[in-house]
Amino acid sequence: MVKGELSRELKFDYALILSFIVLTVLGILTIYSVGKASETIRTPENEHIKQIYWAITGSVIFILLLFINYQKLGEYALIIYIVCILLLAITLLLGKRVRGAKSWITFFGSFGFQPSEIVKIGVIIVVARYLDRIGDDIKSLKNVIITLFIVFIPVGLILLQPDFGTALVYVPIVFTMLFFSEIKYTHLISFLIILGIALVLPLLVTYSALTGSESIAFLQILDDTKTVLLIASTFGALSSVFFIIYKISKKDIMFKATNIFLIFFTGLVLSAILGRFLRSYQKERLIVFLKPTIDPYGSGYNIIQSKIAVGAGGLFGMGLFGGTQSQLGFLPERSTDFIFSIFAEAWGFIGSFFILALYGLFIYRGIMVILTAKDRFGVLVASGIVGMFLFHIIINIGMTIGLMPVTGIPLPFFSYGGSFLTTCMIGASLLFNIEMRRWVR
Amino acid sequence: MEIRKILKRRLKIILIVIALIFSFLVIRITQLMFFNRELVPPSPDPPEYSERGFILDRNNEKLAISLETYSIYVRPKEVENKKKAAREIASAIDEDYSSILRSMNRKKPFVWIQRQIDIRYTERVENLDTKGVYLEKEYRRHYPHNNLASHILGFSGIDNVGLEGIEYQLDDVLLPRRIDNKGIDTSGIRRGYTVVLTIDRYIQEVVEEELERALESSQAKLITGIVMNPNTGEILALANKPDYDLNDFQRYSDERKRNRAITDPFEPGSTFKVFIASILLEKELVSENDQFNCTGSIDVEGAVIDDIRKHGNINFREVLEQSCNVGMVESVKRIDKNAMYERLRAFGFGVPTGINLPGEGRGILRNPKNWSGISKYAIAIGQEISATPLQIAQAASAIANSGMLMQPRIIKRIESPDGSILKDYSPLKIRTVVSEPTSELVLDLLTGVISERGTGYKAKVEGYTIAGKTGTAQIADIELGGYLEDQFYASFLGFVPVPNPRIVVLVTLDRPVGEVYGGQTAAPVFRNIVERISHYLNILPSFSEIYILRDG
Repeated sequence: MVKGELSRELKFDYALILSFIVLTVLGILTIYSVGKASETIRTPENEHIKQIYWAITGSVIFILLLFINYQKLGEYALIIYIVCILLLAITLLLGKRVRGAKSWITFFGSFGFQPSEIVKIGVIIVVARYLDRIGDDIKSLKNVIITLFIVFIPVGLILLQPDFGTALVYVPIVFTMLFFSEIKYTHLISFLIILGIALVLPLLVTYSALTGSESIAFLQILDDTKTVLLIASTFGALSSVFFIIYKISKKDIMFKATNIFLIFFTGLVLSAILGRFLRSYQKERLIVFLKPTIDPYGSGYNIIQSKIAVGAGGLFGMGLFGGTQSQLGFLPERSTDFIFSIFAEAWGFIGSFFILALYGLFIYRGIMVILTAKDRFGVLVASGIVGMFLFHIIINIGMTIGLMPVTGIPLPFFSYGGSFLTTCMIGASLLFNIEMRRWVR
Repeated sequence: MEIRKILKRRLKIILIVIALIFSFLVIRITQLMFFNRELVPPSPDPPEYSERGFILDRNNEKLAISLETYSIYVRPKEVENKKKAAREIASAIDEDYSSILRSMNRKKPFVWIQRQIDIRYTERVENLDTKGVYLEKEYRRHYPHNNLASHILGFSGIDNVGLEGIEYQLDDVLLPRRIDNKGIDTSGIRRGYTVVLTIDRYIQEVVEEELERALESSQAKLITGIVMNPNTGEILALANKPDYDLNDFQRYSDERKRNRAITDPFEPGSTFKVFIASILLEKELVSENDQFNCTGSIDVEGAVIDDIRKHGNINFREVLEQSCNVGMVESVKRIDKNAMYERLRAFGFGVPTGINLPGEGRGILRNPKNWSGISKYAIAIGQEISATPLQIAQAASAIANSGMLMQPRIIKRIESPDGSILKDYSPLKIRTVVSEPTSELVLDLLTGVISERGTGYKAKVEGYTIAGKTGTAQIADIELGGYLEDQFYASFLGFVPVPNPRIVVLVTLDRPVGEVYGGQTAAPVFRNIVERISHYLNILPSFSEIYILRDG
C-alpha cells in the first residue's frame, strides 16, 4: 500500500457517520424522557443508561471492525453461517421466553442477548459470498432457489421461536441482494408475486372476518386450510397439464402458462402453511392497522394511541417531557417499537421531518456505497445492509402512523435494545468499511 | 466493470421507490399532525373497560367489588388563577392547600393532584369546574369484609391486575382484556364477569372467628380450617390464620399471603389412620373385633415405634378410638406395600386436587420402590407422608360420600354482569375409593373417637352423633433430619352428622404451645364451629338422644 492510498482509505464519510450518531443520541434522549415519566407510571428505569453502555460497546465494535478488510469476512462465510445456525439452535434450546417468543439467551444471569438480530449480518455476508461466487449463474432458477434455501434455514429457526417480525426482515434483505445481483426480472417478479399471495391472502381472510366487510366476504371460504390446498392443487394440476402440452407442442406460450400456474400454486401452498402457522391473534395484529377502530382496546389499541401521539405533536411538538400520551403511559412499548411516536409528540413535525431526513441521508449514503463499491461482494453486502435498514425504518415509522402492520420491528439506532443497536452499528461499520476501501486494490 | 451498468439502472429504480415511500411517510405525518380533527385533542382517557367483575359468595353476598373513584390531575399551563384553583380543590377533598399549590406550580405539563379519591368526596369533586383541572374516572377494588376469605379471594393491584387467589386465577374472567361482543356487552355494563364462589360468607366468618380465638389461646404459628360439603366437593369455608387485610395488602409479607391450606403439605399424623383403616377394612384384612396386644411400643424392621401409653389388649375399634400406634402397625403388616400405595393414590394423595386456586401443592407419597423397611409402618401412623389440608379434607369427604371421591370446588358459577349464568360448575365425581358398606363402617368406628373413651371427646356436640379422628404429628426437622422433640402438628378431622354426613370439617394447628394434642387443641375448635353452623345448615340434633338424656 502506498502512502497516498492510505490517506484516501481514511477519508471519512462524514454524512454517513454523523447521521447515525445523531440518531443514536436522539434515541437515548427519547428513552430518557420515557423513563422520566416513571414517576407516575410503571416504566423500567435506567433504560437510557443501559442504552448508553450499548452505544459505547457498539462504537468500539464499529471501530474495531474497520481494521478488518470486509473481503476477509467473505472468506469465512461458511464458518459464519455455521455459527449463526448454532446460535439460533442454542437460543431455541436454552433461550428465555420473553412475551411468548424464545428469542433471548442470557449470560451470567442478567446479560441478555438476541441472536436473531446479529444473525442478520451473518446471513448478509453468507448470501453475498454465495451470489458473488456464482456470478452470472444467478440467471438460472436453480441457483435462485439455492440462495433462498440458504436463507431459509436460519429464518426457519427464527420462525420456530416464534418471532415472525424478525423473520420477516430477511425477506427485504434477500430481495435487495438478489435485485443487485444480476437476477432476471421475471424471477424477481415471480418471487414478489409468490410472497404477496403467501402473506396477503391469510391476512385478508382475517380482515374480512374481523370487519365482517361484505365486499371481501367471499374470502371466508379460504379460512379453511383444506380449501386453500384444494385450490392450490387445481393450479398445480393445470400447471402440469400445460407443461405436458408444452413438451408436445413446443410452443413458448404454453411454457409461460405452466409458469404462471406454478407461481399461483406455490403462493397458495405457502399461504396455507402461513395461515396454519400464524395464530389468529398474530394475524389480527398484522392486519388491524387498516381499521384499528374495530378492536380499539385490543389489537387496535397501540395503533390508535400511537396515531394520537403523533397527531398531538403539531408543528413544534409538546416538548421533551410534555407529551401527554408518552408521559401518561397510554402508549405501550414506548422505548422500543413506538419510540418514533414519542419523539414525534415531543418534537412535532419539525422533529419528525428532521429524523426522516437523517434516515434519508443515511440510506442515500448507503446507496452510494453500493454504487462505488470496488467488487461484487462489496456491492452485495452493502445492498443487503441497506435493504435491512430501509425495511426497519419504513415498517417501524409506517407502523406508528398506521400505514404498516404492527410487527414489533424496532427503529435503527433509535429504539431501546442492545442487540439491535449493536447490529445496526456493525451494519454501519460494514458500509463504512466497504466505502473506505473502494480505491484500495 | 459490467456490473456497474446494471447497478446504475437498478439503483435508479430503487432510489425512486425510496423517495416515493419517504414522501408518503412525510405526507401521512403531515396529515396526522395538521389535518386530523378526530384525533385532536388527545384524549387522556384509558380504555373504558376497566371495571373488574364482582366476586360473590354462594348466597350472592359481595366479597369483592369495584368502586368508581376519581383522580384529579392538573395541566398547570391552562390554569388561570393557581391560588384560586388550589383553594377550590383543597376545600373539595379536605387536603392541604399549600401542598396542592406547590404541585400546581411544578413545571410539568401534567401533574396528578390525588389519585383514587375517597368516594365520600365524589359529589364535591364532580362539581369542580376550573379551567385546567381535570378528573379521571378510575376503578378501585374494594373488599367489603377486609380480612374475610383473604387467602381465597386474593387481591388486585392499582393497575387492576389480579395478583393472588381467585383474583389472580380468574383474572381474564374478572377483567377480560378485550371486548367480547358475544356475552358481555349486551347489557351495556362495561364490567368483567361475576365469579360466584362456593364459599358461604356466614360459615367462613364463623370459622375465621374460631380460628382467630384458637390462634390467641394456643400460640400456634398457623391455624387452618376447612369446611367442605362431601357430597358435592364444594368448599363452604377455608381459612388460615394469621391472614391479612385485602384493602391494605401492601403492608403484609408474602409469607402471610400464602394460602397454606392448599400450598403447604404437612405430615398428618394419626388423622391419616382413617384412610389406612378404610383400606384395610375394604380389603377385609382386618375386622372391627380383631384383637391386638399393645405393650407401649413395637419393633419393626429394626426400628422402634412408640405409643402414647400401654393400651393392653384392645380390638380394632379401640385402636382407632384411642389412636393406638402398635395396633395400627400390627394391622398393616397384613397388607402388601404396593396395594397400600395404590389405594392411597386412589384417595388422591401425592396428586394435586385440581382446585381452581393458584399454587396448589401435591404433597409427598413416595413410590414403594423407594420405601425403606419402616416406611409402610410410618405411613400407617401418618408420618413419612405429607398432604395439604385440602387433600386430607378431600380424601375424608370420599368416606363421607359413600366412598366416592369428589373434586373439591371453590367456584360455583360465572355470570355476566346482567346476572345471566355463563358457566355452571357441577359436582365432579373422580372415582370410587371404597365401597359404601366400608365407608359406613369406618364412620361408625370413628364415632367412638368422640365418646368418653376416645381421644376426641372434646369434639362432642350435645345432641349430635359425630365421627372424627384426632392427630398429633411430629414435625420433621428440616435442618438436622429426624423429628423435632417438642413441636407438633395437631389436627382434628370431623364428620357431621353420622350417618350420612353433610359436612366434613378439618382443623389443623401448626406448633401449638402448651397443650399439643389434637384432641386438646383442634377438637374444641371443631366443636365451636359445628355448634355455630349446624343449625344454619339445617343439620338438626337428634331429639331421641335428648329425650334419653332427660330421662336419665
